[in-house]
Amino acid sequence: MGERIFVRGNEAIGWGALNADCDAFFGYPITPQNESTEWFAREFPKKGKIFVQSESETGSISMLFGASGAGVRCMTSTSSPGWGLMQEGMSHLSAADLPCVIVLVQRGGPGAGTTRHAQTDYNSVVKGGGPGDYNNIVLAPASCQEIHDFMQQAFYLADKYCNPVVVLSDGILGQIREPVKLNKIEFEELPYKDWAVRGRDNQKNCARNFIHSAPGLIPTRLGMNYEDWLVHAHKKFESMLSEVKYETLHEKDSDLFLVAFGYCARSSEEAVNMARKQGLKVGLIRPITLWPFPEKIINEKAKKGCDFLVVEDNLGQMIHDVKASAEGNSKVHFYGILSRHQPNDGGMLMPGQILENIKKIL
Amino acid sequence: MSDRKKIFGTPDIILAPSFMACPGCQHPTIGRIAVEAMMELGIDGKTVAIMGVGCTGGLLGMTNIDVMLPAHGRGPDAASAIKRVRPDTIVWTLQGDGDSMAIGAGPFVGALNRGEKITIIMGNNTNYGTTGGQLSPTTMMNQTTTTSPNGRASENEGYPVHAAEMAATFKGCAYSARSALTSPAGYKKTKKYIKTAFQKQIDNVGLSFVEVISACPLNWRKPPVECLEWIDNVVLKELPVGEYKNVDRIE
Amino acid sequence: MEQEKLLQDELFIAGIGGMGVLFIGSLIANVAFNKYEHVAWLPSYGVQPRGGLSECTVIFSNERIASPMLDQTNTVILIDGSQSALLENRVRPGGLLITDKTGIGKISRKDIKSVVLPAMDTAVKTFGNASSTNLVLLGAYISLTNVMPAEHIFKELETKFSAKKDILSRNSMALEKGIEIGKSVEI
Repeated sequence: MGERIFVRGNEAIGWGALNADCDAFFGYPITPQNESTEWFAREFPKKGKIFVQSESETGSISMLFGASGAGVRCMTSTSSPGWGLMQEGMSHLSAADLPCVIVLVQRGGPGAGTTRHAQTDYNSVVKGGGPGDYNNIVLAPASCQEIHDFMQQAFYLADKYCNPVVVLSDGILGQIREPVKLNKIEFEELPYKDWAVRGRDNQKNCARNFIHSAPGLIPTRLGMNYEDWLVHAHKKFESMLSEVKYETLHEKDSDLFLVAFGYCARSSEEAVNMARKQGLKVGLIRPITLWPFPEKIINEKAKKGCDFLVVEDNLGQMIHDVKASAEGNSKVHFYGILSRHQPNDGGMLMPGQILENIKKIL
Repeated sequence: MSDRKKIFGTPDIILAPSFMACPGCQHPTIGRIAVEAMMELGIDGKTVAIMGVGCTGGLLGMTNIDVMLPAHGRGPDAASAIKRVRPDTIVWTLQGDGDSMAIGAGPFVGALNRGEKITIIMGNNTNYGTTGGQLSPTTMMNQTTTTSPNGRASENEGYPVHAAEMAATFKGCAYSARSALTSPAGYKKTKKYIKTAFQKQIDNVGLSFVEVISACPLNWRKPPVECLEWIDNVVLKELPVGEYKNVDRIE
Repeated sequence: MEQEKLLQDELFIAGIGGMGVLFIGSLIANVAFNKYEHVAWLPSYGVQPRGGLSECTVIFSNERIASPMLDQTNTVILIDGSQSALLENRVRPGGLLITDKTGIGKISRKDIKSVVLPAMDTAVKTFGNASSTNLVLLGAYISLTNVMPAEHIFKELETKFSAKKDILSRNSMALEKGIEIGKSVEI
């Protein structure tokens, strides 16, 4: 409690899960998050918690369906190709109102892409890659401390809304080592999971539970019809909108706002600092929740005449949400994956080069 | 030099060394033996080979034949489809133990169930080598890996999969065998088994499968010679060498 | 946390996989973790366990570290001298470039302090092979800049290699040699 350690982002996932009282981890090896799976393999059994290496990522996400249905705090971590396999599972988890946490350490795609970092899964994570109308809260940490803290936030939000939550990391954050204070965050107490399966005679009222992901075919606790569930889903997602979170730098007096998340938010912060030293009126809007997206602040700034520079390590994904939020009132510029500092898969979006781009715009 | 005749060496169609090969790794050897078998049977020109995801299939990337690399574990699915739409080709996969027996178990069973006329070669080094040495379905009991840090134990990790024996239980399987590369005799046997497997496809009998045990010095944390000893003394006791099924016709 | 303002730095260390780039980066980062509130360590390497380029950024600071990804750092340590032409641009204007002498190309920048040291030669002369070149350069960096007391690094080596006395003694000696070399350089 409160101890200070020096660990990589991928290991901060584990320390955060521990402080969140996560009881089970189901995962599969995939670069660049192997330090995470291996942390859980090493540390969870020591604490009497469950670690299982599944046969594949479809295995992992299906195991989450089971463990979550059994009322236990559970999670997985994976990278982009594995995330692809989990889309069916994400849809089923939301249909069944099941809470769990999925950590995605992004690598370049599409397909098997590269084993190194990128931010090319924004669309898939934020809009959802599985069938049906569903949403999941997406938390985007930008430091090892945030990874640790957001893991705890994620478990709380998952249980609060009975829905999966994604913690979106990337191959760079996974490798950065920074100090992490192992503070356990207190949250409000949440209701007992009386909907979970635990054996009929173990239920409080000895009435059985039936958890399924076909709310239009089989009645649910909410009602007989598909529409009953759709009304519930709509309410669920509407209420999640209150969890929107973001951070700003120089919010009051900027003409141009960089918009960035994850590792790009760090490069952008440095670029903003350098720009300010040169007298340029630049600021940063850093979404902490990518869903719900912080439309309001962007909308406000757009109406005040501010422009935006979206910095993301992909070919252009979050930019569409920024444009939609700006409602045509701003110029929205883009600085993306084709502007990395070197052309191989180790290339990154770097502060000095972002600054050059800022100067071109202003 | 027109007066010089090549009497021994790597087949000419292997254009460069596999880009995935630590010192002492035997996966490129398995690849080379399979390529030699193909050449001797004269089928390289009509072959479509499928690389599994991982170190095992690496040599194929450097070999002058048609190759596809689908998603992790999906080799048998892709191979089945290619064979169906191009029955005049010889289609074979070169997969690792993780690719084939974990994430690929469904596709593996599917291909066997349908009796696909393809050949599957599985290089088995009892771990996920490419990603840093994690547990795989064929990891030996008590073997330490990065996700079985206390050694594989039945309580948490079950028991090693016997792929060659399992394949042999399927009616659609024409041939299933296992070999190892711990001696010159082992090399000869491996080539014989692989040639037999390809012949089953040429003769259109059914699915043919060969499992070849392969050393992984980096992740086993043993020098190469010790790896071979460990294969002989531990791995082959659990997974014996031999032919588990060999039929010329399936009713 | 110590209240005094400690000397801070941004280090970019580069070499070839197998030269121990990440090792010396970790060494100094681990020491810094105990003394500074803000520390960041970021490795960058490709798939090959040996060969291939290996880089590491280490930042230790009294203030919040905005980005561990930096186009230029205050100090650059090159274990592989042949990358000097490529990597001299990674030094901030007014910064420090420490390069091993072996295979070094021309350094054309006039706005940085450049120090070329016979680190690999020293390692080979002392131990018979080049594998401690990294520690020699680290020692030189410490004594050149006085950025932190050398004892901290020695202590960290002792902790890490307490079970392997012969490796500890070799590493400590390499560090010591580097410190000596660094003392004799004016910047």
